[in-house]
Amino acid sequence: MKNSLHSISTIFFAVILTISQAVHACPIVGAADIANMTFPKTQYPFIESGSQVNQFSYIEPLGAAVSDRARVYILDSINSKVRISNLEGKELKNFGKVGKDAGMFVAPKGLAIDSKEDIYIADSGNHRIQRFDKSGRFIAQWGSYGYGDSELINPTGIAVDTQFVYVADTGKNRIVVFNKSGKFIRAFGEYGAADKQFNQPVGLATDGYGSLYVADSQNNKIKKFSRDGKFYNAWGARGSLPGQLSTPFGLAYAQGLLYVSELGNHRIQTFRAGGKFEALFGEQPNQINPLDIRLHYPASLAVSPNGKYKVACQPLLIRCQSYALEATLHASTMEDSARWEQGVTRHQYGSGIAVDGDILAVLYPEEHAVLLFDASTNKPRLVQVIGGYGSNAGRFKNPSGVVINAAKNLLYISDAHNHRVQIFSLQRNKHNKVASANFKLAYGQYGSGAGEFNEPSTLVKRANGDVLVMDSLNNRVQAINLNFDANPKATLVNHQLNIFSSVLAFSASAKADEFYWLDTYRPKVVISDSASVVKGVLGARTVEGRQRQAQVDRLVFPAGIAIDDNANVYIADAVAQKIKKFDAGGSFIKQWGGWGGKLEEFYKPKSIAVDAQKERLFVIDYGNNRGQVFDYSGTLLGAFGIGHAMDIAPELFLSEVKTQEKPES
Amino acid sequence: MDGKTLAAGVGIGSRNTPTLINAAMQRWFFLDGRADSLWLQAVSPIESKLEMGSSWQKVHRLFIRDDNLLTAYNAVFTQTPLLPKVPYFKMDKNRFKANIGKAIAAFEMDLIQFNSRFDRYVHAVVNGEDKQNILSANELRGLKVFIGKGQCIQCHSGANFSDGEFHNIRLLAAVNNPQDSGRYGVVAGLKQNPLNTLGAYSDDATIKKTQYLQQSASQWAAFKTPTLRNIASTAPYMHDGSMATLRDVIAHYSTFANAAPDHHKNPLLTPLNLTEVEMTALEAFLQTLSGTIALPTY
Repeated sequence: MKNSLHSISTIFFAVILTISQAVHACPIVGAADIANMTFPKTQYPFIESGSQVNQFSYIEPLGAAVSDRARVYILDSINSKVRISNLEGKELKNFGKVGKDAGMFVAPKGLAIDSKEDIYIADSGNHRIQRFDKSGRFIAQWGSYGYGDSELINPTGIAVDTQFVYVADTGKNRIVVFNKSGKFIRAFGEYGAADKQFNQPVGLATDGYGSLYVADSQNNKIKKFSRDGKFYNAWGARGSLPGQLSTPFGLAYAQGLLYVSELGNHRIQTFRAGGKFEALFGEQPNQINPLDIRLHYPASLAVSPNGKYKVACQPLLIRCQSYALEATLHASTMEDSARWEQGVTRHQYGSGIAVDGDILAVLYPEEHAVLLFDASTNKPRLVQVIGGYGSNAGRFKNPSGVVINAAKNLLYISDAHNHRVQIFSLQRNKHNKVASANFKLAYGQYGSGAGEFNEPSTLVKRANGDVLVMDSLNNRVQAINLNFDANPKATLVNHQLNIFSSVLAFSASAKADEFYWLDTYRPKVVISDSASVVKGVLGARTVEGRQRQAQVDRLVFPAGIAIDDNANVYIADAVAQKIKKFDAGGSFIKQWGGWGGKLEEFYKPKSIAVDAQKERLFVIDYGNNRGQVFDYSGTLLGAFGIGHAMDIAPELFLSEVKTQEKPES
Repeated sequence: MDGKTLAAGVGIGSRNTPTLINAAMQRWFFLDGRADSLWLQAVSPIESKLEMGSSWQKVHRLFIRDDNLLTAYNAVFTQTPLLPKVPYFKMDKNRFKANIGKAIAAFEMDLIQFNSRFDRYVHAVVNGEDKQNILSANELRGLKVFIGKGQCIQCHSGANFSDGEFHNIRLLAAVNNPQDSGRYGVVAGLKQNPLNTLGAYSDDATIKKTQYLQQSASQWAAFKTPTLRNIASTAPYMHDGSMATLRDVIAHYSTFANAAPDHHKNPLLTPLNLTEVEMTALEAFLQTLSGTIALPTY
């Protein structure tokens, strides 16, 4: 630790890079200020910024690049923009908006620059690559959705060297090499765990000598190839020790070092070109770095070719950080995940929740598991942790959707990166409370045929017991009936709506046989009938200009949707930090919430579920690592789970929240 | 056993020297199991720069020039004798290495110990003989901890007190010396080694353990469960020799106070919270596993 502190003193500046959409001045921290900085007051510095919270509220920084001249390129995924700034976060230029035309993006996830600073974007939702010059002028685009050789499905990672553009064609688990004008050269890799196979390849980096590094995120390995696709070697294994990896995501290569950002371990590691472990940032979680440059789900990473400037982006914290160190990143960041375990439940909640009667299930992404609760009171009691990382029966790789059929005692879980749905049978105790879940069967496998999936996500239960599975990268919904027939008919293909690439979730109204598609990136909710005919739209922007802030029914980043028995629609908006309620006719009724860590406030609420029996709403307050329980009118009934950074005593989470203690709404 | 923290030969290795006692009963060899037969283990130290720093050509010269060695060699390996007229670079060097390894292995097979006080106690119990006064009350208490609360037997099982497998026991070495990934790092090399049990030099091609061996994340920083026979006299302990006494080892499992962080919890490795009495008893029991080795005369 002594060495680390010494290294910190060598930082000649370190800044929190905040990029605002509006013209607000960004907080800039210079070298002289470092001594006066008091970090951290809160885990989420931006929550506390009070009146200026919206300043940051759009950004979902996913791709990043930084040039030798310290120009920073950030891909703001939610807002479909590329933002060019300096290292202090001062915006120099931005371009892009949501759409399908040239120069527009849908849910873009990858960004790379070449030596001329031409910008290459993996426009994931449009399944294509776009190239721009350094000032944002459109040059070319190539690729489209499909399983063909030069077609792409959800490309995310991108890297460029002097000759070629390398694309991680994530949805097809392969690497595609194009030349710089978009001509298909070759592709290699397929789905699997062997040397030349991938499971969710994401980050890419080139070393300038013809080698390509691939972050094989769900195999927890780094794989090194020649540009011709010849396999050199692979290293890493799931775990948190130095040299181990947990969901390696972002890669950057500079000056003989490969930088790897890991979502699951909340840290950055560096390796030598051959895979020899070099250093990691954050090996001693006990001590808090005085500069508060801890990493929390670092998704993307950029290092300038000269190795001088580094940028790490953390979408959950809505921030990018830039570092300019003389030495390496060593000791400039701290892993902090250990402190999450100080909470009462010691669990983080993910973006998936289901409730049926007294049974509640919540996704637990950090450990690739699902938490089963008895929710007969408003303080849900943890019954079982189901699963854990792996591909065997009953284990998961990124559980991504959950639904409960309490009448049949069945629990369905989408196992996104094993590309299947697993079904568990629920047992009850003598008091008829849920007691345990046992693996029953696994349904489906990777592929595009009937009964096969490519990243299954949202699950929706129909009245007849069918469970609809959003087969997201196959652009369709398939139904699993109660007999688990192996060949379901593809119930909704939805070419007509043509919004799948932007849809994060959907729900179905039992009353009206309507489907509600959460078109997250556009952002709005599209209502269709079972023949995919659009019947209406909710939450779209109708007021332009400055006054649009006053449009209360407008959605910003809808992330979760639930529908009650009266066909009222509840939408969790992860950027507006609110729950918005609409009636069956699509009229806005009310909203509640707001950005913060107190009860009735949210930080990126990502999921919502309705308990029709007791007329309760369960909301996963993702960024605050907790759930909150409301009645249909938005009155707080209780909360469960606790992360850190809470300004509420843990006891409150152990007992039901008393009515008189609730803040005024 | 050399009693040193790290193995010292020509240079200093990165690991503690494992005991040879009952080595023949192991399933895998070296602390990371990078050899799958007793004889394959004996091959590599000869030219390791940190151990003997020799070369096979030198060993070959030794055999050619020493009539006694040459005669003995050719008397044993009648199918593959050493022909003095064939120069080293023309002969099947792997065959020569394998034969030397097998000769050393034959010697190691005699380093067997089954005469500890604990063995006498077991013998008495099994045969219904008088078992009084073999183990003291304190040692018997330790035995109870060993198979009960201490859960030692989960890995230190069987006649050799080892399950023969590999486990990460949260030693700080995994953090301080991350280049050594233990079992994980050697699996690929063993499968490719032409001298492994699947290869042409194996005497028993029916041994399939290496064929079915797979690299997996759980092998990371995992090292072989050592035998506990004569454990009291093989200090220091752990693969990195980081613990000086048996008491330190017991304390490690009891509290995991100075252990490597365990982000993804392994339920077996939770602190045992042994009491002082239990720790003393367990240590006393471990002392009863010491015995002697009677070497045959050759």
